[in-house]
Amino acid sequence: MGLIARVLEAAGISTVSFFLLAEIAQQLGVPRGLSVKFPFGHVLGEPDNSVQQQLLINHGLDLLMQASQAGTFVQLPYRWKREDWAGLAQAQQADLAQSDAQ
Amino acid sequence: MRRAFNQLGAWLYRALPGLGQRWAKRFQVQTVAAHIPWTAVRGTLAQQRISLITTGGVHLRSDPAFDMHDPHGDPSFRLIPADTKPNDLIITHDYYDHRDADRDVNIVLPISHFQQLAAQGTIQQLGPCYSFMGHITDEHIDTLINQTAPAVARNLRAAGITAAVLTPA
Repeated sequence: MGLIARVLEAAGISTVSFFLLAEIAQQLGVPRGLSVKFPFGHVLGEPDNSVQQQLLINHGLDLLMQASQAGTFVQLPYRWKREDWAGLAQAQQADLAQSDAQ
Repeated sequence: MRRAFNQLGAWLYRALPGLGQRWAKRFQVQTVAAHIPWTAVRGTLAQQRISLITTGGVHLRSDPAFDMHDPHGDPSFRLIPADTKPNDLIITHDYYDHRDADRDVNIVLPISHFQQLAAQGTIQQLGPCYSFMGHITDEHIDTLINQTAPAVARNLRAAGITAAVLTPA
């Protein structure tokens, strides 16, 4: 999938790519990437957990807008099914509001 | 028979996440130049016209399935229009356990979320989305890099898309 990101980016489309395997993505070299340690088939989390999915999407969009150089990669620390997603989402909203204000 | 074997493998990777990490370690990553392509984002998030790309083998029920019999994978892609409803989508992919994604496609293709982001004006527009199959090896990697991925890039440019969010299976 990193290969597709590279092709799109070279064609003039800014990309942000999610990964389950950070090592492969970093070896390949993707413009903007972020990884989660979740099982295959669950890159944005659990089915019907909209809060969790939205939190991860916000991380992706934030990286898309903030990264200033090629190869920017973020390894998200979240543990599979062992996080308080509602609490994390609230904290993220506060962070994003603060960075908007600055 | 081969499909049943692959499906069993997919289940094992799901049951034992450590296997996936070990598989990754011995996976031969294609060596590329140190150069990483870069297109700077112009404007604000609210000005972005965004398309989603997944390698999760997602496609419209009305479209042909991905080829699960070629051991090197299927380098073709399927168009998923921006206004597609999750119920109109189905997954053909034997190399991962997609029972959860069958229930909620948003965990591999977050289309409902981005439809909402566009409706709220957080982003300007959700553009045409595309799905690949992933698990592409050998000669099909060339097809992907030189033919099918560039074709998607041209389609996105023609649609005025400024950014893409990519999600794997």
